[in-house]
Amino acid sequence: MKFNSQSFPYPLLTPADSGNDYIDGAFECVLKFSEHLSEDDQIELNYRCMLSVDEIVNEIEEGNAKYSLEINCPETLYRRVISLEPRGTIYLDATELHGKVSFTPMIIAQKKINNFKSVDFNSEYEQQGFDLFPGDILASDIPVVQYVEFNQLAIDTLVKIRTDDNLPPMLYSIDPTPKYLYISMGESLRSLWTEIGEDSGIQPYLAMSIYKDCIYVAVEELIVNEEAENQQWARALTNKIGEMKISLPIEADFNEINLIAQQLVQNVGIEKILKLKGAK
Amino acid sequence: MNVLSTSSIEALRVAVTKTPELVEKDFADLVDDLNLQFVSFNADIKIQGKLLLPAGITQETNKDTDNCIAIKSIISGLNPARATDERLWTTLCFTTFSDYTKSRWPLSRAKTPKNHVNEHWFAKTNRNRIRDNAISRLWWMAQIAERVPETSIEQVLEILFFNSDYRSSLLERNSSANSLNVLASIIKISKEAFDEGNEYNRESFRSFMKQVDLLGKRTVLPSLEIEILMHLFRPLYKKAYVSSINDEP
Repeated sequence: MKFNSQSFPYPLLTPADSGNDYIDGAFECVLKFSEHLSEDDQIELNYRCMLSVDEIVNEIEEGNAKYSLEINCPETLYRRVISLEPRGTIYLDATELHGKVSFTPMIIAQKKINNFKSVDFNSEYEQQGFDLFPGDILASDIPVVQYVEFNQLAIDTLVKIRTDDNLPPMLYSIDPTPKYLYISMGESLRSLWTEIGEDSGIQPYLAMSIYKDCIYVAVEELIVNEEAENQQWARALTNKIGEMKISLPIEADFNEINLIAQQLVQNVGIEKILKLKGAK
Repeated sequence: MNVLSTSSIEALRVAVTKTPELVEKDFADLVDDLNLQFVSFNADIKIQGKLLLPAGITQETNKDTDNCIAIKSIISGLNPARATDERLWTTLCFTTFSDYTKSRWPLSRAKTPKNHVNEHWFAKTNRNRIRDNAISRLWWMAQIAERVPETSIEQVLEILFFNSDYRSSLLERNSSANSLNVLASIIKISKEAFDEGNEYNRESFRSFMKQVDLLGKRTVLPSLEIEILMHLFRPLYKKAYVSSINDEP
């Protein structure tokens, strides 16, 4: 759910309109999803909310508003709003989710709030007060989108990194197994991957190299192995390819597969680099 | 159980789009002719029992409500995530429930045969799955109905099936279909109005749903309790019906 604060009859704290309705205030909720499902098909989601507008903090402390998370999965007709504490863990039933799932952190009024105002309001409001009603949104963060495939997470999360002591320290190999696509790394490479993997400026380059190789192998496997569809990662990849309206070649041709693999990692590779470059 | 592989579904789709009458053909022959392949569905699904064949084309005789109630016990072990898989529904339409599918959606009644077979034998999109596919529509309608709180599955189905336009207006909007408490509130308000003798009106209901959408842009409706939602929706419903009655020539 995306919000345009201009369509609201009161000031709304959103990252998209930073500095418009509120001058310095910010609301952010960090979401961290578990890489594995639990045995009973639960997705663990750790979260932490950060809010710097004192007046909204007060409303939350007085029980008039709550940190909330809207979860929307159109494919399975699942749309719920869960109340959150400032930080904690929630568990989601993965059997109720499939395809694109969006998670939108928000702060929602629970009771009528009379004459709500903040010293951080943009001066154009001239310290005007606003009446808020249950269900009204006081703040929202950028939605996070995850792709969930059947009982497992999407292709991105079906790719697993592991250390292989038998490999030369700076090399890697791709190993498709029935459940996961493994990128096995030599010890030094794995250590480097962990170190630079947190750097959002370097992540796109990794996506365009090692991750693209992995997707290349997966696409090739889909073409040459008739039994591939029995594998969990393969169904996720087939779905992704279908969503992107990409046709697989009948024969495994290096250039054709390479083009497909590039398209599949484009949004986490070259597009991110271009965005970062544009931001400078 | 085994289902048709994705590439076989595509081969079948191409073939029946070209020649819709193929859905009437013996499926074993189609498997041979088109070299269709099966793969394991990777889920412990059991199918036991049969759907009722329709006795007519009206809502009273097409057995949709009975079959919706029955489908959940006929297909066991299926969850919403798995129930998004076109391979399952298309396989069932061509195999286990072939007689039902042909009887409920006879090709002879099709205005456009190629669209007819694509809609009722396949389930390519979310909308197809919920509204059109002969079997998945029953499962998903039952899934929606049984999740609506404070109302029996029979009552929900009775309201959903009395009019296809009402059902479409309600279930094809993101604001209402996906949120159970919003859906439940609208169904309850509709029932209140019907019980009071206020008949369904297509334009009024559409106008009401537009107002619900508008309200949903500012207010997070799924975060509210059913009683609060009903309190918000009642005046919108009444206003929509009064306006459209006043607009009548």
